[in-house]
Amino acid sequence: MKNKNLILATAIALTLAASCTKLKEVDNSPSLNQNKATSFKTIKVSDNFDWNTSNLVKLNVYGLNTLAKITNTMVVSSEDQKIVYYTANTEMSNSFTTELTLPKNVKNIKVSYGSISKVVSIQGNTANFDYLTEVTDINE
Amino acid sequence: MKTTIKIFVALILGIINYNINAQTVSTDCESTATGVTPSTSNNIAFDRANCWGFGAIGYTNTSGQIISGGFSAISNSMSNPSTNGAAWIKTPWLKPGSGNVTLKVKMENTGGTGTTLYSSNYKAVRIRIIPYNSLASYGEGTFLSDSFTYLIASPYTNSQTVSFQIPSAIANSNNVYKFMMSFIGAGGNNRANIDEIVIPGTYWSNPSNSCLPMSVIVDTDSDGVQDSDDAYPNDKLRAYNNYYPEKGNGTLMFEDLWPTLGDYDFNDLVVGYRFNTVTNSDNNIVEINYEVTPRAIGASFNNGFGFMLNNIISEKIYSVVGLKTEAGWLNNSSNGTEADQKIATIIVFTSANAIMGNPGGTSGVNVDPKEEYTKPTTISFSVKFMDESGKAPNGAVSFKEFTPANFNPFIIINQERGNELHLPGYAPSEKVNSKIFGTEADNSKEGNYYKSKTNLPWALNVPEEIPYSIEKIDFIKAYLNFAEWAQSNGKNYSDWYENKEKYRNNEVIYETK
Repeated sequence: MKNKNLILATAIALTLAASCTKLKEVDNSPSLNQNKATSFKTIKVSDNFDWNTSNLVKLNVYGLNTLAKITNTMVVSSEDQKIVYYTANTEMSNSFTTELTLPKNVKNIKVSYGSISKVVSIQGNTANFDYLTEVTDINE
Repeated sequence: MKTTIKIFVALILGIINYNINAQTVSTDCESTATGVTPSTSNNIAFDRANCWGFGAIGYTNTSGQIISGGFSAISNSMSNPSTNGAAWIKTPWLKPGSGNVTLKVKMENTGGTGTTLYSSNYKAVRIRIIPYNSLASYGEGTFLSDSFTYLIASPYTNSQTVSFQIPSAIANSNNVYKFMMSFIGAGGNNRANIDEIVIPGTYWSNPSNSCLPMSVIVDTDSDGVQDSDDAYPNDKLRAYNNYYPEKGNGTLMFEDLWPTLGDYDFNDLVVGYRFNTVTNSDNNIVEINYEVTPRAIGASFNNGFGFMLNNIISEKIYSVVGLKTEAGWLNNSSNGTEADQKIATIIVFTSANAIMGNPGGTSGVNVDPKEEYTKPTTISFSVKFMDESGKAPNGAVSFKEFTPANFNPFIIINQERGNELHLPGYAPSEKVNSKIFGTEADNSKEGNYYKSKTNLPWALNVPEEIPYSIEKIDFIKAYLNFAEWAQSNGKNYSDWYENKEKYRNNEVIYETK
């Protein structure tokens, strides 16, 4: 019985070793990225590749109903606020969508409205902003 | 006549008084922001955003805790007799009307209840009034001497109405105040549920200004945008600048052998650009101010350059100011856009060689380091969407209708008007010679123009000012991660054009002298 177990264990170990070797072979197979272009003409791109270096990002702004009409300037900028992407006069109660043309490497934007300021992330070419601030629930 | 005027004035005053009296500042804990699902945290966040203040107070939707609707407020245990240390709710700043401040309250159980205020067992609501003081923290001055304390009575777990008359000294005042409701008590572990808070008065907080009282903004040109936000504080017509690229110039690079493949050094024509979309307080476009700088010519062709404003029809343009383009093949309308074009099209220059001082047009300009450097000349001009009185004869264009992605630049190869080359994916103008599409290496199709049969472009647009390849040097030898960006379908090195370590081969990049 012990011998049988030993044989079984050895067989499993060998199978695993073979699997690992095989996986390693797969890892070494040439990928698209490793197939380096030697000149511009030899670049291989997919049919739907977008050559733009900027993205059109939809910013959805969810308005906040206020008891008085509040109008202020909405500024959309880089996180460090050094680069301003959008400036517009905005009524706080208005919900709207606007499109921003942003470099593709921009992942987050800062939306400022008077004293309200939030960093929002861009998910799939869409960013969402509302005027609410984080609150902690009281124990119920 | 005097009598008539008096009656008229009295009527107006009557209406105003009526409106002031009719206004209330209230919360029933039920509201939430647009597009947000009602919940305890979202509803209190909504009220907080509207400048209500809460200390040791949350919202609850537990059935036994609700006074009315689907949500009520709930305090921490009321075992603190201190009005500041206990649970509290502060209203936004408001101009009080007359009548009673009311709220509904009940206890969740009978623990620590009693009939004597400030004894060892009692539960109470205390209402105090905070005047505005610009020098104080949050603008909250010292409490007025008027206050009101309501001892919560048996049956404690039943909803009861707390009512407090606004003192005559501040009723219908032009000054702003907050009302602070403290939930105080001693003994037992017992929380209050609160709902339907109503204060007669006019809301006077500004959620976009740290919830301070609304104040008269400084707006010199009276356009509705306060001076501190207005890029043109003395110009009623203009309010905001919106630059693209936001910082510095962008770079357009063309290969002008289209429809055949070229040498892909992407320097046949290199153009720097930046534009500023100036908008008014209604967020309509007043004008777009352009700066276009031809930087290099690496071609034997003498190319022209222009752009379309996608989405904008020619009639929407009031005028083009500052351009002096002339050529036998160019015909402009009276508003400065190219004639016979449905989409507004502006030809910036007709001859790159003339602009860059290359009359021979053989050796190129600023592409060979051995040759003399020619300092580029910037062409500045404005595309106006309205006149100086703010009138847009054919309708205003909203800033929403025009994004930088609508900027559709192109070159006119060797000044043959129909031979126009755009960025990949961008549609041509009505002047294009469509017979060229599909010839040689071009694989343009309706909706997907200016790509080769292997999906390669003839033009690139980078939102930064970048240097370009030396003449005849393949672009991917200069920008080392460009090919990886393209072949990874844009996943890797989306910043391939940045000046980072191992991103560029400066040996083959033309250095501006």
